[in-house]
Amino acid sequence: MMSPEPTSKPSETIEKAYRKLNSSKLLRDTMTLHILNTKQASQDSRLAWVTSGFPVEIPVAFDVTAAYPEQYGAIVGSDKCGPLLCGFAEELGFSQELCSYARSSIGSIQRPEQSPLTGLPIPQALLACNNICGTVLPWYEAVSEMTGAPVYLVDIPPLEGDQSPHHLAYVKSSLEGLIDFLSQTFNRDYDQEKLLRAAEVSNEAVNLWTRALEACRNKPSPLNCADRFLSMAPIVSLRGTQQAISFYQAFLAEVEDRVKNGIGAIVDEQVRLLWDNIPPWFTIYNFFNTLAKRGVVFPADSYTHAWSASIPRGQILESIAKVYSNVYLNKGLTAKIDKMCTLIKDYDLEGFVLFSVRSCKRYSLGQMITKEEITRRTGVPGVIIEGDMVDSQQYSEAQAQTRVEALLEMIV
Amino acid sequence: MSRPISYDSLITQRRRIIQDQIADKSELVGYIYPHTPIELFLAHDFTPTLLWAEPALTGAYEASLQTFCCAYSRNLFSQRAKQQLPSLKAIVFPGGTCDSLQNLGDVWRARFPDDSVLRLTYPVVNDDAALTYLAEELRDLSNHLEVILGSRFSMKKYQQAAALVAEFRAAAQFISVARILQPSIFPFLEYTRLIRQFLTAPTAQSLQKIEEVATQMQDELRKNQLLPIAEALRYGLLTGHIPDQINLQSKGEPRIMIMGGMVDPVGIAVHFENAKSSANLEEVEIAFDLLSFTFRTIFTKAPNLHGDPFFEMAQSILSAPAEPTQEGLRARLGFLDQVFDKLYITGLILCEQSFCDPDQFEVPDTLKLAEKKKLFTVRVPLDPEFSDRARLEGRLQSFLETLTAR
Repeated sequence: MMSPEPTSKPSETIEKAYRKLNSSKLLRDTMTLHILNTKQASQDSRLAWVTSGFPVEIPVAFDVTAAYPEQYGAIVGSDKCGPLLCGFAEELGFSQELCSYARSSIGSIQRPEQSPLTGLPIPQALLACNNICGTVLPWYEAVSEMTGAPVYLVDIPPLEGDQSPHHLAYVKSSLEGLIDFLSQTFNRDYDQEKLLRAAEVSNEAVNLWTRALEACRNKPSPLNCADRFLSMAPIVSLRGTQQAISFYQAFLAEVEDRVKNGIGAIVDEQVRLLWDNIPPWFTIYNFFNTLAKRGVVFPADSYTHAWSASIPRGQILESIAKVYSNVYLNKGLTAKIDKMCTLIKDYDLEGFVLFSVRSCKRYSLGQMITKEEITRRTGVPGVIIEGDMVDSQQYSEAQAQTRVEALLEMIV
Repeated sequence: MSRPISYDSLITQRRRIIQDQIADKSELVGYIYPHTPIELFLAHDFTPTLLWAEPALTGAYEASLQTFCCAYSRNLFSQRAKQQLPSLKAIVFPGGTCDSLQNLGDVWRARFPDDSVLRLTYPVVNDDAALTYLAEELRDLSNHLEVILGSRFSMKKYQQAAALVAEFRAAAQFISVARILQPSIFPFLEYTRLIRQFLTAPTAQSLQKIEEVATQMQDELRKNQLLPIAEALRYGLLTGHIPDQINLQSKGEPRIMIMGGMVDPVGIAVHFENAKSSANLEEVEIAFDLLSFTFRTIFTKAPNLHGDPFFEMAQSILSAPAEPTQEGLRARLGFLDQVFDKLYITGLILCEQSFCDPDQFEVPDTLKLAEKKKLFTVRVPLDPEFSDRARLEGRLQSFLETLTAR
């Protein structure tokens, strides 16, 4: 996701170990424009805050602009002001044990003047989908109490195995309810053609993004973990818009060019690892670039691959219901382990790092089983490091690096 | 000052109840979430038993769960790892209620592959589509019970079970309402123990005990001409609209309410009793609770005996009041507003279970409302083992002393 450049000047060695993407300027411009658009949309009363796994094509079809508090959390983390903003939420009574994306967004509403970008613009609606975690609903309900914006929940219960007909019918009904909610809240009519178009545009961006991710099967890998985490900003927040396509066309062209010319994301690729979970945003450059110096690259991760499913043509609401129900976070531990084992095989990875994020119970609980099971199935070793994605008080860089060091000793 | 009550001794009593069930050759299905349909398990000839946290347990979860997993989940897992759970035919986990319990089910399956792990997934919203969805989930669970555990659904047993649960809830509701009107009429600790006993072993014997108390309450209220208002209040709590004029016998006394999620009501009641004793305030009582295993369970409407049982059970579950795992903070705050005003609450004990997202997200807006109503409030962070008992009782003692001195 988009974040400011590192505040401290990187050392000479780190700059040499890691190759910056030329498309990062376009990324910055694209996301700056998006931020300006969200401010304008708020003034025009057509802004919704949306969770990352939300079927955003539907609000896009209503010309509603989406802003993403999770993405804002990444900006807060990268700006290293997570503890400050989380502290503002804690002053209101929110426990330090709660999700730091939630705490930082609540903190930024409470104290916008002390928040990066003066916080997200005030929304007219809050659109949550619990296919990524259960926290999104109480978080958005708390935000609703603070901003007055109404909440709509697309309820997608966790799947046990294959999606049953009654599950599909329920999710579809929830999407129909969303259409009614958006019509009433934004006083606009539903236009199915616009939704079909938004889905097509979304698919095109997803396709470009997926091709860029899959290019990392090559050796050397054209992208490292930080590249993907920063570049996923448009696929999260601009899905269904032309801006996402424009960015990913340029991004993919650069990635393919790197592959064609044998240029890796890091200068001297020696060890290829898998990353699991959201990154520690406050140290994203430092963490991955320090490992890049040791020749460690992360050609794949479980997180950025979450936006890789296209909406099939046909009954549009049913198609959307199927795609958004089947995100792997909604399918339990086995689905996640399957996915990670496939990535290890397809990307020829030698080990894996599981980031145990205190804030994110849905993503993190089960990682101990995951570690054992992946090693059993693939034979590659892994390590768990602990911390948080925004609240740097919950993270120890030295401890994390020591653990990864131990993993490297097993591999090299 | 009376002798402190031991929470551990009450846990031992629960264990004995379970042992009696096993001796009766009942096949037990353990459950965790308050809105598990006990009628369904009884209809399949299983005895559903609510599992609880063991206070004296040292951790055995560290190789499988991180420390930020909800404390209740960690404790249950440790019990299983140390083979301290009762002998269970199956265990049923809730899906869609919170991330910890959702993932715990998966971890349990992986670590204990020989256990029969069932899941009932709940919708978070409450509308017609959610009702249909939940009815089908219940039907699927019933099919699992038949196919995996080999016991068929019996309509006759379902109807007996539904009647049993309905009678339990009616009796418990009456005691709850009687206590609102006259908190000293029956100790809160005894009330929570009766409910817990039924949830541990939902049998005719457990029901009989609670019905006997409810009958005594009725006689008492009748004597004081409070029966009509008790019925009106009970109806109001079931429908979410509390009547305006409630005649309380002792408006001068502190009116204490306790709220929280999946906190063990017996455990918190024990520590409240000990705090009272330390403060020499034996006469003070909790007037009303908003806990998941007491109020939110017993004021859930019983299934209608006519109609499709799965649909009726779904309708019953979705009628659970004020549950923080469901959508609708605004509605819950609206109900709380009524409770504070119309039940004349003056003091609030707000329980916050460690790493429980639904509990912890609810706290700030509850505190804000309590502050607006000028309630004297104590926030008690706790874990299901009540491991920091001295501090908990100290906080409650200070709360009671300050509240009564006002």
